Order: sequence, then C-alpha cells, then structure tokens
Amino acid sequence: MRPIERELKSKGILRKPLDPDYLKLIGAIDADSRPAAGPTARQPWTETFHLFCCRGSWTQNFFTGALHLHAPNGVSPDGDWILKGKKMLHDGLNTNNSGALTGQPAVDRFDFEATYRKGELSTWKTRQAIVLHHGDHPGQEISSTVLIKTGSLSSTSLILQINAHKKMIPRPAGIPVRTLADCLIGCRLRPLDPDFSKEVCLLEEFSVLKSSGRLYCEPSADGMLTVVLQSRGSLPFEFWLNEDQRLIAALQGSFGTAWIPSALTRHTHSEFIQAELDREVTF
Amino acid sequence: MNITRRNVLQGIAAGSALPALARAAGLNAKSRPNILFILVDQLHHRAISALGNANVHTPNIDRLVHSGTSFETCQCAAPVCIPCRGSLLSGRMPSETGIWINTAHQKSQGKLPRDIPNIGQWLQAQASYETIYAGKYHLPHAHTYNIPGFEVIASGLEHRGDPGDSGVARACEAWLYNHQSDRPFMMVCSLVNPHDVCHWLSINTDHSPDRLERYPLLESVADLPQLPPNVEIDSLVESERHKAIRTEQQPTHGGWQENDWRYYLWAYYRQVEMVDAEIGRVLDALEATGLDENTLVVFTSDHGEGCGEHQMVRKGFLYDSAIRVPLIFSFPGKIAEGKTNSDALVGSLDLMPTFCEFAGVQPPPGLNHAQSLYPALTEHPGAPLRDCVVTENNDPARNKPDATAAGRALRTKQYKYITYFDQSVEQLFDIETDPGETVNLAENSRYRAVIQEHRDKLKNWASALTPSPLLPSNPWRI
Repeated sequence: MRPIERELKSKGILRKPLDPDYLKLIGAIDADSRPAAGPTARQPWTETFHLFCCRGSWTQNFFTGALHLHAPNGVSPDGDWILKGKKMLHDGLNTNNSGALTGQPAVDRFDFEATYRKGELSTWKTRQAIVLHHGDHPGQEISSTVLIKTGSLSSTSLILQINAHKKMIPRPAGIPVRTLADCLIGCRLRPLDPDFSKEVCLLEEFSVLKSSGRLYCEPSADGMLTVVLQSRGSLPFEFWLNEDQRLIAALQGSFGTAWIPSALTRHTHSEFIQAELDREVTF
Repeated sequence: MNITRRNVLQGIAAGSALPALARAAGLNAKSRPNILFILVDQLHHRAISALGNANVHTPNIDRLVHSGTSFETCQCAAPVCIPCRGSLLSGRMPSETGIWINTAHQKSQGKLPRDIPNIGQWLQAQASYETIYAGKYHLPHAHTYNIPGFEVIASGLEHRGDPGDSGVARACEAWLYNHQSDRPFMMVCSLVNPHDVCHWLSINTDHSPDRLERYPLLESVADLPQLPPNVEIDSLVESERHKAIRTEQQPTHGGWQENDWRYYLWAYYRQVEMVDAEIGRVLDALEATGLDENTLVVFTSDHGEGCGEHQMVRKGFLYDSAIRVPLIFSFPGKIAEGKTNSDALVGSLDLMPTFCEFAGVQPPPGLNHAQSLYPALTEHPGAPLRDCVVTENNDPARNKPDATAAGRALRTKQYKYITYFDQSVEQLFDIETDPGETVNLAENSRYRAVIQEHRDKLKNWASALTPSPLLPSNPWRI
C-alpha cells in the first residue's frame, strides 16, 4: 500500500472522488479481473451490472442491487435493437435502520423493454413495484406500488401513458435522448473518438426528462477513456473505459455510486437479489 | 375529561375511544381532505428557485410555492435528522420525546414513547385515515418497515438519496395512480436528498490546485455559485461552541479555498434538483388522478444546510442556515396561492396540530409548544401566531464539560437569541438588520434589556415542556 493510501485509510475517509483505482483499493473491483467482450451485431448479449455505494469511507460501503441488460437479437447494421432490462435495488436494507425488521427484505423492482430505431430510443414499456420477500412467498409485490407505463418519442415530445392518463413532455427537437442503460451499452458498442461530444437529454427511469445535457469523451490516465454524461438537474455520470474501450465502471454522484460489470467484481448478490436476477421479465 | 396516558393509549388503540377529543367539525370520511406530506432532508431554506435563488432550478417545488402559502420563518425543532423527525411526527420537542441526539443506535433512548402518538397513529385512530409512509424514517431502534400507525410501501436507502429516492417517489406515484378508496389518506413521502452532499463531502474534501479541472461541469468555473455574503468568520463574533463544531468539519480539514466552496454549492444544488425531479413524479400523479382537488400538500425539510454560511457545511449548529427550513402548504381553493407569510414564527412542531385541524380532529394532548397553522392559512393570513419559536440542539456530551453543540436558539420577530446548556455563551442577533447573523449584540450594553427579555422568554418556554424521563439531569430539566 502506498503512503498516501495508508494515510487515507488511517483517517477512515477517502477524501478523493472514486475512480477505478480507488474502487480496486476498497475492494469493489477485483484487481485481477478483465471486462468481458461486448456485444456483436445480431448476436444475443447479456450483462449484469452491480451497484456499489461508497459512503466516502473505507468502511460501511455496500453493494445494493443490480441492473441486468439483455439485447436478445444484438444490434442490426442499421442500429435497430431491442433492449430488455431489470433493475433491482435493495429497499429497506441499510445501515440507518437500527431496529429489527419484522418482515422480510424488500426490493425496488424496475423492468423495462425498449426499442431503438437507427440507434435512437423509440418506444418502451416499464413496470415498477416494491417487492417483499416473505419466506414462503418470495417476490410478493405490494400491489399498490405496481405501475405500468408505456412511452414513445416523437420529434418534439415524449409521450407517456400511465393507466388511462396520457402525459406529453416537450423535448428539444433534434437532441437525442439517452438513458443510463443505453449509455452502459453504448460505451461497449461504439469505439469513441476522444473528441466526441454531443448534446443529449437524459431520460431517467424512462419517465423523467432532463435536458441541456452533453455526452463527451475525456482522455484519462493509463490509456483509459472517460465518457461523461451531464445534464441539468443531475450530478454527472462518468463511464470509465479501458484501453480496449470496455466499460470498467460507471460512476455517479461525484462520485459515490458505481455500476460495475459482473465480470469485474467478486461480489455475490443476496439471495433475494439473485432471485430477481433469475426471474423472467413479463409485462 | 382528564388526559392520562391510559386515555391516550386507548385512543390510539381503539380509534373512536376518545369521543370527547373529537372535534365536532362536521367532517365525514368523504369530506376530510387527503394529506400529502413531502419531507426532504437537509434543504437550505433558500435553495428553491421560486424563492429567488438563481443557482438552482426547482420547477416542482416552485409549483407548490406558486399554488400555496410559504412561511418565511420556520425553525426546525432540532438541526439534525433524528430528533427533528421525532418532533415532526409527534408535535413534541426532542426534550419531550427523549429522542434528543442524532444517533439511531442511542442506547438510552427509544422510539417515540407509547404515550406520544405519531401523526399516523392519531389520524388513523381519530379520523379513520388511510396512512401511508414511504422513505426515510430514521427514528432510533426502528426500521422503516415497522412504523407504528402507517402502512409502509417503500423504505428506500435511508442514507442515500441516489439511488433510493427514485424508488420511494415511484412507490408514491404508483400508490396514487392505484388509489380507489373513499377513505381519506395521509401519505408521507420522505426523500433523502439533498442529504447526499454529506457523502459527497467525504470524497471531495482535499484541496488541490487542479481540483476543479478534475470535475466535469456544465458551467465554467466563473459561473459557479457565488459565496454567501456571510461566509467570513469573525473571530470576535464566533462562539467557542460554534468554532469547535466548524473545525471538526471537512472543509477545515481540507483547507478549502473559495472555488472549493463554490464547487460544493454547485454539487449541493444539483442534489436539490435531483430531489425536485422526484417530487415532480409525485405531484404529477396527484394531478393526473384528480386527487389534488381534495389534497393538502405540505412540503418541508427536517433541517437546513450550512451552504458555506459562516464557513459551515451540513448541520448540527444554531445559525439560520441549519435551523431554518422551507415550509409550504398548497391546497388550491382552500389556501391562498402564491403567498409568503412573513409575520408568523412557526416550527416543525406545528405540523401535527395543523394536520389535525385540516382533518377535523383535536390534536393529541400535551402539545404545549405546537400551534395549528390552520388559522394563518385559511382565516387570517399573515396573522402572527406566537411571539417566539425555539430550536434545540443536543449532543451526546450534553452533561459533560466538553459538550459543544448543546444549546437553544429562540427567535422573536426581530431578534434571535442563542445560548448553550451551561449558559457559558450567549449570542444575540438583530435579524431584521443583520439577517446573516454577523454581529453579536450580546456583549453590547445597549441590548442588556433585550438579552434579559429573551432569557426570560426562553425560561418561560422551557417551563411548559414536559421533559422526557430519558433525559439526563441538567440545568434545563425543569
């Protein structure tokens, strides 16, 4: 351990933003691992990202969920593809609840299926629910928290349908819309030019649109490349790519939250997150 | 009828077992309003764009400002999470609930005492409300999924607004879209951000010359938020108590320079905007379903945020940045729209009796320092309710010589008086002429009578408390 690392560890706080090196130092990324190869055209592709939360400390950090992405047909030469995903976060498991939990752990479940035309998001469907995991009935949804939304993008607006309610959200014309999920894929799909920079809108959970954003590249140390996704109303995401432009981690929150590909971490999911990962997505 | 602990417990357990307490307001289940209580964590009282802050864009909180009435001077019961949350839910001061320090694992304390009902228990029992809770709870020896008096639909990650707040807001959104009952509901939507700035601090503490080049910004450095006018420390004004707190904070350790502070503010405002977006999900659902027509929406924060004022971050001290919070009520057609009440001195405790009055029931007994804001909101807008409001700040070392933070701040219309439990430090600020609290008048002989008046007010205020038996003995235990 280098002197600076020893000093920081003795003080109990990181004091510096997370990056892949720090994620290795605090054990979130396995130092000897290599990212798996990315998707190829017309080939099915699957990846699971683990969500790591850093409290700015060497201790009390935790993995708290996963994002499972699946492109059943790969990507066509025209950039048409389908992306299926399920995101699951622990709900109610944390260091702050000091009392006993009389029920079972819960999961914030978020499923989606999105279609892309010529590389751009076109239509989608999402299903959300808080899920309780009782011993005899794992995966029991709190029925009042189940909600299905469908959405689509026109050139001027985002249209959401929720139950019988339709909602139109204006969008800046000609500005592509990006989600966390397709940025995680996008980094793997396209070799990016270090001078790459484009205006984007960030679409969170396929329902909250944040405009005036930008996606751009920054060269980084050790031959790595950082793709930054910024938008109004959000702290930036940083997507760290290795010299082969494979994703090492996506960091957010300047930068205490990290999405880490499963091949890069030895973390094993809790029983109920694993049950969610094994679950078939249906709408 | 004598109010005894037995009465209260029976009332909670049996619902209508306290007929003498029920107000004959003529409200039946269908006419009682729904209540949506949106609680955020660590929001500075000025960190809202509709209140004139150009550094932040909060279109959804702004909706509430424009459709409702905002209170200019609202003090939290305590400038830290746990004690204030106990007070928000019960209408009782931390000294009364026994939840008086900010640790969820405190050994000698407990959850709310059984004879102090929370708002969910009370409205459920007295008015058959459907009571829903989502998000951060944080009372000691408790888990969010076990809140008395509430059906919990989501917990979130209590110390992480990102990624926890989204799930909490989406659970509330879904619940509103799925709501079909005729029963009135009270929903608590308790979001964590912008509290995440506490974690941000721990990974962004070190000052280095190239620090700002490291961070991606949409703005240029020149466009970062400016420092507040009261950022400077006057060693003659700063109390030793306050200095002890400040020097323990990350910026002092990190040797922050001007741009470090400005970058901190930039990050903080982004986290405010993140929670604003989640609030938007919930408000959109309320409007889309038409439930907004009969729903009182209340928005506040458990405590404030230093935001660089007096070179402070976070909370746990008695300057206004930490103890003043936004408080907004919106109920179109029932409450004045787009109004700011600058006269009333109000506090976190007032929510319990206000909720009760809107629901048409008497508040629980023992709310000696809480007042319903219903008259100020509906009958006499602008009318002052009381002549002082008090915040108390405690720390685990309260009865020890090295106690630093334990003190009380009493606000009157013109002045703010701060003292600490051993009365070794007194501060007096003329808020009308010195809103940044930069000139301590306590040592000025011209203000001797004012100081004495405020000492007396605080003493009278304290005499009406019912201190928790859990409190250690100290000069404030009456």
